[in-house]
Amino acid sequence: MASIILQNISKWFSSNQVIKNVDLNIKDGEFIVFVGPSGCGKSTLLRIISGLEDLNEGTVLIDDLDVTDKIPYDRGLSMVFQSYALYPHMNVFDNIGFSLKTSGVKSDILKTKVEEVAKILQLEDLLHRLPKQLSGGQKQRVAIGRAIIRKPKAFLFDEPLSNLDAALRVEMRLEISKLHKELGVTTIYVTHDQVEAMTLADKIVVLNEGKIIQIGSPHKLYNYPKNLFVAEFIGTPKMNILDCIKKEGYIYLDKNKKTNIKTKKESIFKLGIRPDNIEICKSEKNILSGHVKFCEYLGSEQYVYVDCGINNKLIIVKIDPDIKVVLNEKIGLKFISKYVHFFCKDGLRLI
Amino acid sequence: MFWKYGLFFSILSGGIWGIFWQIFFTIVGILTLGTPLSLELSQIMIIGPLAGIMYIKSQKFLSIKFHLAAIIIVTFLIFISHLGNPYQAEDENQIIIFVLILLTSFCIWVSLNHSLYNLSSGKLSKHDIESFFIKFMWGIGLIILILITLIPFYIMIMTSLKNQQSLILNPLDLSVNLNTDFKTLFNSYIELFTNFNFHLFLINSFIVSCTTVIITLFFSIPGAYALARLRIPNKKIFSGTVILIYLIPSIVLIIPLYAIFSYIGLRNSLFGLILVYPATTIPVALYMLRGYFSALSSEIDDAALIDGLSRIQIILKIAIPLSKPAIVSVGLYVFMIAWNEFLIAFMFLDDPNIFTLSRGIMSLNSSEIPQQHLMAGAVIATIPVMIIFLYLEKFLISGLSAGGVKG
Ligand SMILES: Nc1ncnc2c1ncn2[C@@H]1O[C@H](COP(=O)(O)OP(=O)(O)O)[C@@H](O)[C@H]1O
Ligand SMILES: [Mg+2]
Repeated sequence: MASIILQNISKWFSSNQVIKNVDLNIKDGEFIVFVGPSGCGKSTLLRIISGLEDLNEGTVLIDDLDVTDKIPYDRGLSMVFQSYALYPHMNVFDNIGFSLKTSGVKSDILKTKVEEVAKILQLEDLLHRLPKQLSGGQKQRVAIGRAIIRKPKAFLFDEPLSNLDAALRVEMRLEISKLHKELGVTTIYVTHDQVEAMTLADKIVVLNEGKIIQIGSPHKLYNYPKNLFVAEFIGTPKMNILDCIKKEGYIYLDKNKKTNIKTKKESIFKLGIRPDNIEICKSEKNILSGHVKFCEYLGSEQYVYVDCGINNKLIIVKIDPDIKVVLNEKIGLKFISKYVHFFCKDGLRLI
Repeated sequence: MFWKYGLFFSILSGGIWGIFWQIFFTIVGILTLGTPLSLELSQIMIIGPLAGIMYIKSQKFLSIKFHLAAIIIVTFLIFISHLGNPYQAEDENQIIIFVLILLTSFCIWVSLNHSLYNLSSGKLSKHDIESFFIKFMWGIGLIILILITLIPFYIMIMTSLKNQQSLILNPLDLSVNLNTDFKTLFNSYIELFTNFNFHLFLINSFIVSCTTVIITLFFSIPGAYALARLRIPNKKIFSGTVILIYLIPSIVLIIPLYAIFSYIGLRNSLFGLILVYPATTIPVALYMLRGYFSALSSEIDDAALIDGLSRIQIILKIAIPLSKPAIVSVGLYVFMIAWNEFLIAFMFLDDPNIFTLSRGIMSLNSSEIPQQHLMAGAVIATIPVMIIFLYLEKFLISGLSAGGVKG
């Protein structure tokens, strides 16, 4: 178990700067999730921490020890890869025990340790199979087994669930979460799926174009996004982001679409409101209204897409699943003002 | 359009298969009888298509009995159309001629069965036409491939088993009298091993080829791994240059090499050859292995790095076991290059004690040494490679890397 500190890390691939001056403090035992769109540098950052990738500037500290120039093995971390990366020519037993065998552990100790790990992950019956004889979920378990057998200082996961189907993904997500609770080992988990990020993380690190945009708990990111990027990235369905102007204390979408929101804030450029925080009502004068264009019924909830005549943009609203929606019906929208976020011209959220 | 009908394809393939097998069995007849036979194709150009039509019209009631009847009918037709003597052969060979005709019609029928199976005689769909062409081309290609490899080999072996007298008497006659005793039959081989040092040549060739394989793999496996995985400055230029070296023909290099090696005293020695051969094989090996290594998932290597392996250990414990088929085929390829290499061996080696096989066979090519010795030498040079190939075949087809990554 260990703390991990990144100081001012930069990485270039030839002339392309992929990681830009990243500072990060990870406490002992934390579950950290790196999240961001594809290609933003999550994997690269993780590989820099693991030592698989050299860095151009900065330092990596594990337990306050500078490991910047150490090889991966000496950093005492273990990693689970997106493709599982099992050794195809070794059976499950050898795959899990490989790192111990390499470091010269005696075979009887090795055997008990592998069996211990196999028990935790319910792999006891599969120990003599080759990777190609396993299902996706089983392979993933073997990969995790290989990671935990070394009792590493920290676990690194690089999109470990993205090759699994939806149901299995939920199951494995819970297992990883459980494992973290049991072992209490510092964990860094990379994903582009914000649902995984929200459900697993103690702390989420949102990355974009090689920079850290915001760090915080899932609750903080959801309710207090630092800027437009985080606001849009966290939460499904996405937050509605609308151009707006302020006139006589009220917020207007377009010149004549008056809303029910009043504010004292200045230099407002855009507003953001989540689908959950809009109420529908009868269409009346002086209330923002529009026509229902689509409706998505999900059983426990229901979303309607409302066209209010602003730049072809549809506003997504979450409504009670029992309401019968008629397409093209005209409805009024009321924004709950305490959940409205305002953004200024450079994208920062106004506080 | 007429070419969309099954009937057209039956006529077409009947004609082509007929001509093909007629030519083939005429050659077989010449080689077994040892007398010239005349090749008559006009009759078969009618009988072949007839057989095709017969096949396609009777698709519905094909059975073993029908097949036998059809073959007999075709045989009969060929026999009749030539007035009983299709090859104008001498009378004492009538039985062999009859067997040849029977075989011809049998092969025509089997070929038709292969390429016309399940085809209707009416209008065909695009899919049927395509599958006909694929099957037809596949059949013809396969047979031609087998024939051009087997016929020279057959001639080579048969000639090597003959004696000088019968060879001069009738060079076309490739039948061998198997009733003679072992010593006369294998006379050429015994001669080669007792009087012409072929046991030495064999050993020399083995030494040179095996050492070349070992040296080549020793350098090209780590080299290819580095090219596939590591970030090396100017990697592209480097690997491009390596391939360029391979493209230079050895005839260009050989004169400067001859001069240099004479000067430093390496010319007339096996050690000199062992220096030169890897230099020509490493570039190809490097190129082939690099392709294979880059196709392996690099995440497996990353996992091994995390598990505490050094790059050398990764090569030994991960990359080599996973690319066994590739390494075996590269090794085999290099072995064959070295085994068959002639030009450099010819220029470098003067001392008959250190000749390699190809150089040794060359030394047999003189008017004083009978031709069957030369053929026997060629057989001796071919057989080891064939044995090794058959033995290693199982490694070549096993795909080990499947299943390690992804679902
Ligand atoms: N080996 C490499 N060589 C050059 N560019 C790379 C390499 N690996 C990653 N990159 C680039 O770095 C950026 C970040 O990649 P990565 O960290 O894999 O993103 P992701 O967030 O999807 O994991 C991408 O633009 C990618 O093209
Ligand atoms: Mg990635």
